[in-house]
Amino acid sequence: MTPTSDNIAAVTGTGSFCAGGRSVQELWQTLAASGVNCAPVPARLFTTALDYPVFAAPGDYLTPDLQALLAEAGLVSLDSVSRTIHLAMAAIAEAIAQAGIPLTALRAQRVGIAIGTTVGCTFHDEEYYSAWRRGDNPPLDPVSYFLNCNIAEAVHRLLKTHGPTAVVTNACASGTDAIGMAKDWLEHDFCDIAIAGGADELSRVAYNGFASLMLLSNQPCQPFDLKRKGLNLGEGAGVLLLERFADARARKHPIQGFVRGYGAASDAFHPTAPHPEGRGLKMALKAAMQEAAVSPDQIAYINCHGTGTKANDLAETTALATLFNPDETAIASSKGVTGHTLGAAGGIEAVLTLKSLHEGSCHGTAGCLQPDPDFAVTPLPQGMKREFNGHYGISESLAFGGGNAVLVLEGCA
Amino acid sequence: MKQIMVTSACSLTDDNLVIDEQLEGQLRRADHFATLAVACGQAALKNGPEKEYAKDRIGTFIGTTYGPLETNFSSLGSLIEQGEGYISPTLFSHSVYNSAAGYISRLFGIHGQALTITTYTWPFLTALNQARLSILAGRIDKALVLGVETYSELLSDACCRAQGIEKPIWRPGAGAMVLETGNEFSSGLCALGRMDIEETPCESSILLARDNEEWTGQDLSGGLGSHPLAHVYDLIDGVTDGRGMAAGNDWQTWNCRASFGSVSLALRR
Repeated sequence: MTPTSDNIAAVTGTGSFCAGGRSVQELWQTLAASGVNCAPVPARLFTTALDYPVFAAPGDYLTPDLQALLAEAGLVSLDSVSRTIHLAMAAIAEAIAQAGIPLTALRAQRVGIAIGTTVGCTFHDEEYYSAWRRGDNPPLDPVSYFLNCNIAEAVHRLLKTHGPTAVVTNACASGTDAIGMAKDWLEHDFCDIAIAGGADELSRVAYNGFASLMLLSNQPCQPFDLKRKGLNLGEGAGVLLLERFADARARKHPIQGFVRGYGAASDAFHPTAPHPEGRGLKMALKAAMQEAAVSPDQIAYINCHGTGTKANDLAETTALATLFNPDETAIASSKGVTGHTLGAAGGIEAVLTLKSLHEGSCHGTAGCLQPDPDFAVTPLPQGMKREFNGHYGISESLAFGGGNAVLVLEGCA
Repeated sequence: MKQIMVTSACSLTDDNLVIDEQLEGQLRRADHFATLAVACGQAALKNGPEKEYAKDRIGTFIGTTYGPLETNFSSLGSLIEQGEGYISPTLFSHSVYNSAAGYISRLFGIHGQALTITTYTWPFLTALNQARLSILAGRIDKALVLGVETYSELLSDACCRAQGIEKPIWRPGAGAMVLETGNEFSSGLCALGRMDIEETPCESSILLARDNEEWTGQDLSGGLGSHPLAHVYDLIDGVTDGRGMAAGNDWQTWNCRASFGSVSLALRR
């Protein structure tokens, strides 16, 4: 099967769960209000003496949609899996509910699960590790827990679905790449339905790692602002439920949009810093638009990576200026209301891009009060709203390792 | 429809790991995971046909079961020993799972897609399939596909204790294939056709031991043991020596099954 208009990946459900809200609609409202739920690390997550604030997701992940899904699956709780999977399941439950697909119908098809993460694939049990290093023989429960917490495999196990899985570990671009993979899977008949996006929880190791790299801000982040000092870590999940267009049309379910193009490229420059001119990002943007068969002037909105670090924001705007006219294309970051959710970012931002295209408007960048005049393009600052008539938008991610990933999304009114 | 050719394949273990002199300096900070990936990737690229591609038309795809887990533990140890705010930046940046893909991109000047996939079942085959799909989608013309596993003392200890065995099961290693579009009758080791992967939820002990994993059909070997790269080595051996592939126009289906699912791939000599 080769890609045709019938087998293009259609979005019939979206879900998100993060500091900006427990659902897509809540997140959208928080974005509109430039709501910033950024605070010291909650003691329920981990204790720290460092003073970098974070965007922690609400503690109660059992949303009404997730409660309904667990009941349908015959599950009493999710106590046996990690917090990253809790966040993922909250978003997945919302997406499945929006798509209106009963579990019995899901189980009858090949469900592809592609989820990006960074923290969600690591073994960071400090107690076990310390005991093992001392030469003790600690009980193996934490190892079993680790092996049971591969997100994509856990989703299949919990929902009793079957099909291909992938946990994409492409650092901060993981969620975007996962959606790109799922697009390929559907278009080439590797699965019938795909759940794709990203999920990540806050972790003490990642928090300290980013601190040691001097990338964190001790205040709420200010993407694209002249006075930006760095990023704030966040946590959450964002997913799309994808079906082939012909299948969604056959069951007469409302279609929210399409994944039209996916492009990815490498800076081949530095382990943790982006290429100063956004070399890989430009290549990924061109590739994604070529695949989608759209030109830059057709792109109404770009949800940028926009982390609030000096290097990222400069590289990203430098690359965008070579391809887009900010008078025609609204450029903004949503990390001022979500924080940098690492592997989840691409999923959450794809959801928000589709929501913006559906609403025909986008909101400015929370925290960006005075856009850096050195940028070659001026992103939309906090408090501004841009309305547009276009149907195409871009969600883009940059990552450690020099990875860049771009999705071209089409929204349906 | 494009024809996908396997134009090079190779594997290595710690026992035959050789680092190119020119790369030695650039790998001085690299962890074992990245070093294995770079060394195996370099060998696979050298063995393939010398056909020029634009840098952004070549992609890197890495599949791994456990990733740079030992570097993750070192990073965790650094936090425990040094205290908050003093975790080693070098260790932390190498603990990110796509660090090896970044090395390959930088050292070999590969500017196309770089994707790292982590699953406990068949990560190399998932990466191989994704490389195939990326070529079919027209994003790239050539792909370096790697399966890489390093030794984790903690996980090996856990496996031994869980299974009541004394000897560690793992040897670090890597396997690689190079995919290119091409004419199957003029170049390459074999053509790669459709792949299907079906994963079945199972208990963690089954994943760790890779219970009942075996190739079926053709004249392939049977049980694969518990090494996470065993199926990769077997596939690479088969592709390079032609085992399990009768000459002719018919696709040969290779099936691998285990308690955690099944996979099939079509190959043609």
